[in-house]
Amino acid sequence: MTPLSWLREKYVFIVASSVLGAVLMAFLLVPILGTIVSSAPGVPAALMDERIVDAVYLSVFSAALATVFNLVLGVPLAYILSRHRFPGSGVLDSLLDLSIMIPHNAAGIALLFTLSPRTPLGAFLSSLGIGVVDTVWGVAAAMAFVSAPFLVRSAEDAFGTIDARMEQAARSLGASRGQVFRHVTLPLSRRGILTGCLLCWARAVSEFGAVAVLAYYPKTAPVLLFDVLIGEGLQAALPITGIVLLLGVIVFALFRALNREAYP
Amino acid sequence: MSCSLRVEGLSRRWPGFALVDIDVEVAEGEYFVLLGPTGSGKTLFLDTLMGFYRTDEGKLCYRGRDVTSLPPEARGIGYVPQSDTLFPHLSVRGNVEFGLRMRGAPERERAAKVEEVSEELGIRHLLDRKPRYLSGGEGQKTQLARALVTEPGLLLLDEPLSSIDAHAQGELMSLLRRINRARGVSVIHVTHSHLEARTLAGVMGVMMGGRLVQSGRVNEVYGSPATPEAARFLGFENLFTLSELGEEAAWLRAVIGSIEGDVVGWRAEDTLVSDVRESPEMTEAAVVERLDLGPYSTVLLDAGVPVRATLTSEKGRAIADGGKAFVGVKKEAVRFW
Repeated sequence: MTPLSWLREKYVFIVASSVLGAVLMAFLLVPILGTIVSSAPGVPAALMDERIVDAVYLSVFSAALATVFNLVLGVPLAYILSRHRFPGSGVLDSLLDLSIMIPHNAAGIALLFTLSPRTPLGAFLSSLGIGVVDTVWGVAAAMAFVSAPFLVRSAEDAFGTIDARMEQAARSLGASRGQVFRHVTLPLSRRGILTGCLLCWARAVSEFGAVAVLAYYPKTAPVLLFDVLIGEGLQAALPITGIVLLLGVIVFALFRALNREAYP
Repeated sequence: MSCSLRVEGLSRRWPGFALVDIDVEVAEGEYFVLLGPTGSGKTLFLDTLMGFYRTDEGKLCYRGRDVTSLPPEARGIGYVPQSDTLFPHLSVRGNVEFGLRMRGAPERERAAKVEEVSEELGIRHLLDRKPRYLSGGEGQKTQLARALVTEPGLLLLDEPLSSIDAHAQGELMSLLRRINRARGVSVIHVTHSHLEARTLAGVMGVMMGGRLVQSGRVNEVYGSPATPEAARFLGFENLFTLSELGEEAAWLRAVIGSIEGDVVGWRAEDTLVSDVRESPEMTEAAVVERLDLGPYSTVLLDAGVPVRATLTSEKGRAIADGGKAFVGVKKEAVRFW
């Protein structure tokens, strides 16, 4: 048997899979790493540009707002979906992913139709001083809309890994449902929820379509990037692109660190 | 003796399974073993007693109080589940004191009670460990300590010995009996192990197909099973429906005589086997299979009907595999239904 035929017989599938996988990895990584390298010289100056710094700050802050909103409302939803079966719970569980399935500019239009001051809900929010069209609230609402499933799914998975018998044991020891959640369920799912928060924030901070439709102003980093690209060209947009990509890399590193952390 | 737990007509249905009309009384300080095969509903019964499932019908009284509609945390019943349910984010100490913390007990009281119960169960040296560093036996003792620290009057144990090695099983059985006697705590111990039932039970029940088919003192239950199904589970390996047997079982009818029932049964150790005809009621049989199990042998014989016997090794050696033997039954050991 020649070395080539031995290789063909034993490893053709592994080699073919590796080559195809490597092509995809290169397709995903080369543009990101290449752009970070190309944009690096312009990043320090861009970080001095108030317009860019404000946009990045707004993105980070609004994404944090959206994450807190999704955390407060999403964790209870995740708990209910993971622990209880009721008529329509399967459908509800499926509908949860709808907001990431639809085109994001369409999501922005849907939000506009629901939250603009001409709608009852929008008028009510306006009466409370919470306008959503072209405001920070609008930016956060658009971000929350498209990122909620990431947090809810992650929390749901985390709750799903906890043995229900452990919660029952806690109740047999005198803990109420609320105490069980606080002292057993939450500590055991903490890492999953934190991961969900990070994914939610990362998705929110990078949102363009829904934000641009609902709240083009004040400009977030992705909106500013689009604005500069259209108005001033590719070279002018490159430093902002570098900053946005670096932000993504930092979040990715955090995500990896969180998932590698051993159980305390 | 006053009653710790009284269950009256408890029924609960799930898709494909039901607990049906269960009546049980467990006296204060009594060790009640609920024995049944896998899938008979033992764990669901305990879960229903704990309040994890509501009852469809029936009433539960614990120490004279109707607890039927109370949530688990308000029942005051201790519970040790079958699986490892120690909280992995807490130390052994944190696990043991959990119930006291949920009740708002002050730190000094918690520390004293944890010391006391951990001393009693021999886990004091483990208090600062995380559960993942415990052996199976140590984990079970910690679960037991966690349930006992709140001083419940009744302890529910779901297959507490099933996941630990034989040596630790013996140690834990002795510990369970000691706790039951020293603390006067009533126990409902669910198991499929005859060894556990015979070793620990003061009173026992047999559960099959979601029904409590029998309860009573251990010797009564093992001596006179209530149904043929219970008899098979309790070790009556020879069970025959007489109306289904033909002339080949004439010897058996002759031995038993006239009975009020159609099903007869006896234990393998109550089968008489000899290489010579020791009484006129014995019949000749072919030895189909003989298994030597150290101090004793089990034998399957064809006496017109398949008959199982257990013999001492000495007597078993005289019965050759594939040879002939004479078979009879200790008449007083035969039960009928």
